[in-house]
Amino acid sequence: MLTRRTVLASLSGAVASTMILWDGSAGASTAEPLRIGLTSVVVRENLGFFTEWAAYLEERLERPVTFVQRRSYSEIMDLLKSSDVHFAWICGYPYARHRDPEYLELLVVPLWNGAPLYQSYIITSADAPDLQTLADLRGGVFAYSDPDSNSGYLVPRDMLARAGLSPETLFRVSFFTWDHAETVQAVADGVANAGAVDSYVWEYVEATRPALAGRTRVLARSKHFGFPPLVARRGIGPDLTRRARNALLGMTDDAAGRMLLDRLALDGFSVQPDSLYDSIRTLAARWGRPA
Amino acid sequence: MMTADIHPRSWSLMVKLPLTIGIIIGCVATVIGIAVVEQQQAQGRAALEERTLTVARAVAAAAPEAALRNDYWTLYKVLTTMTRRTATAGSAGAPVKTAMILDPDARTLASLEPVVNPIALPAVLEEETRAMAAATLEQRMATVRWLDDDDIVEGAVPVTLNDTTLAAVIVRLSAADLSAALWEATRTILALTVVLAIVGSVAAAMISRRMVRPLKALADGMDVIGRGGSHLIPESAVRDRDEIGRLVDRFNRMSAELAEARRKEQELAVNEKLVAIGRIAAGVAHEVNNPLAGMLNCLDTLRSRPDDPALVDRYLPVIEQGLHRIQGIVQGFLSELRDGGGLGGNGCGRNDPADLRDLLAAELRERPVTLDWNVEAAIAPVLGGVPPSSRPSPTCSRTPSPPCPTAAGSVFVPMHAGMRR
Repeated sequence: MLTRRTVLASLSGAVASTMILWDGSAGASTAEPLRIGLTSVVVRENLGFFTEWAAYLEERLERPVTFVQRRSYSEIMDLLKSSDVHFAWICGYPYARHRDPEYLELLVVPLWNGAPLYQSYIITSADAPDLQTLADLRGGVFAYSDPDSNSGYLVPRDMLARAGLSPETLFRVSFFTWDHAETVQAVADGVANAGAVDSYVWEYVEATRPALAGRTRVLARSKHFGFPPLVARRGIGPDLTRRARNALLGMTDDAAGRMLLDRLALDGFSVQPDSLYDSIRTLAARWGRPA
Repeated sequence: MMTADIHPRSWSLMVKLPLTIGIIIGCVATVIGIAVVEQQQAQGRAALEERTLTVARAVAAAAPEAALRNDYWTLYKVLTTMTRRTATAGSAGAPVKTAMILDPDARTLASLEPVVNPIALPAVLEEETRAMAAATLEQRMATVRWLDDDDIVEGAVPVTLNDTTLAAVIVRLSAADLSAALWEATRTILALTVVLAIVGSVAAAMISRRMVRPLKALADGMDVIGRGGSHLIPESAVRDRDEIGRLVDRFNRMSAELAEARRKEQELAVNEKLVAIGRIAAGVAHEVNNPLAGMLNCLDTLRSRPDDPALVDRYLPVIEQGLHRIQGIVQGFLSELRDGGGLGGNGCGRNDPADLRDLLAAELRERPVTLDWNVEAAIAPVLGGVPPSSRPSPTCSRTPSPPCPTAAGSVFVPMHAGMRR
């Protein structure tokens, strides 16, 4: 026998079921887009690639994915801080800097040449055979990538200091290109006599734009540091973080993911301990600027 | 002779007219071509100057903030991007030779040739360029000038922000494309000039041929008329009704009239010749008749008195002389005819009055006529040179009238009453 309670219970159950079904059918198209910030740690010129990568992630995360580009690391960091992006691919130096309160969480670390490591290259013009040591850069023009870059600012200053050179007085003038690839361009064009660049980016440019990279040569290489990581903004929820991490880690498991990784010249993504960036923290403590 | 042949005044109109028209067309086309090239060059120069300033203004518009921060790389990217974009925006893009951004101290903030002009160092500039940059910074106005023998145009535009001049943009564009375009236009105009001159010459040749042909026919006709062959002139065709056509028409009429007059003259000459022949025949008959009459008289006398040897001795020579006289007369006439002089000579002998006297005596033999032979002084000069028509003719006739003209007074033949004939 139908009672009022039974009817109300049935109606509420039907409404709830309908809402669940509607939410499920809406899928990725109606949910809030996942916003992923990009910095110059990756060559960002191929916008088509990031469209394909976003489509790949949308399929696995069942949510729209949008890549957000800004000129400098600090702008992306501001977007992370203000919750305008959920994830970001940033440099190890911004990640390693102390924040209070901490709003970043290490998501995954790319694997390049089989390891989550990279270097900083001091590059110079291929047509400058007289530049053989860092000391030969005296009085020249130097191009840094970004003041918040590990390989493009922190490491070269440390290398110069270790060589007994003062980065403040060694160069006639220095400037920031705000992009590792553009640092290669600046040195190749002769605007700068030398520059500091992410080894991954330089190798990537050498593979994809050999004419450009061929006008430069590596003058000095740093020791290895933790590869620029992908980070998640704390507060987006452990489920979303987990699903995103799994999606990235799983790219090696399917053909589409492997194709995308090949185009990124990466072996895959990995989960690494936070201690991977301790060496950067050491450098930052010595040469870095306040956060 | 050769000088006269090669002198243009002696050339045919069929040469002079096309040549003159061709030269005129060529000159006109050349003048127009030069004017067009000049105009195109002026427009091209103005367009290139404007393009130079456009490129410089585009850089200056994007550079203020980077210039304010001494953001060298941004300035370089602005410089490369804007010069590449604006220089190739037009259909006739001019290649940018170089461009740079200078700070107020003429140090390089950015340059398309960073190796030549490194950043933050005083720019390597010609004195004129440095002065132009200084003037641009000071006066805040765009300037443009040509250099390197008009191969390059250089423009300078100030970079300003809030009424503060931060830098100067200097852009140099190559005029090579403009020069190439002008050269191409010049070649095209030159080709058109040649083609126009050739076409004009051909057209002029056709027109002049049409004009000169009837004139040449007229000149040839005049030559024929001058040689007296007006009847040989073919009638020239009259194609047009212009001045030349009318001239040809008049000439045709004139030549026809001349031919008709010549024909009538020839008919008249034939008639006159026939008349002259008749006169000659009459004269010959008349001249021969006299000695024949004398000889016949001699023969009558001899026949009547055959036994008189004195008469034989006397008249046979007379007969012989008469025959010789006839022979002489005939030969004289033949000679006159050969010489075209008609009748000539003397019917009574050339210069032998004695013979004439004998003939007259034989004629008068038994007649009551007294021969008063006193003609030596009078007749000799007459027989020597007076024209036949007026020459005294001491002819003896059998008529009672005086046989010879008395006006000359050479022969006086008194006639007595009672004569038989």
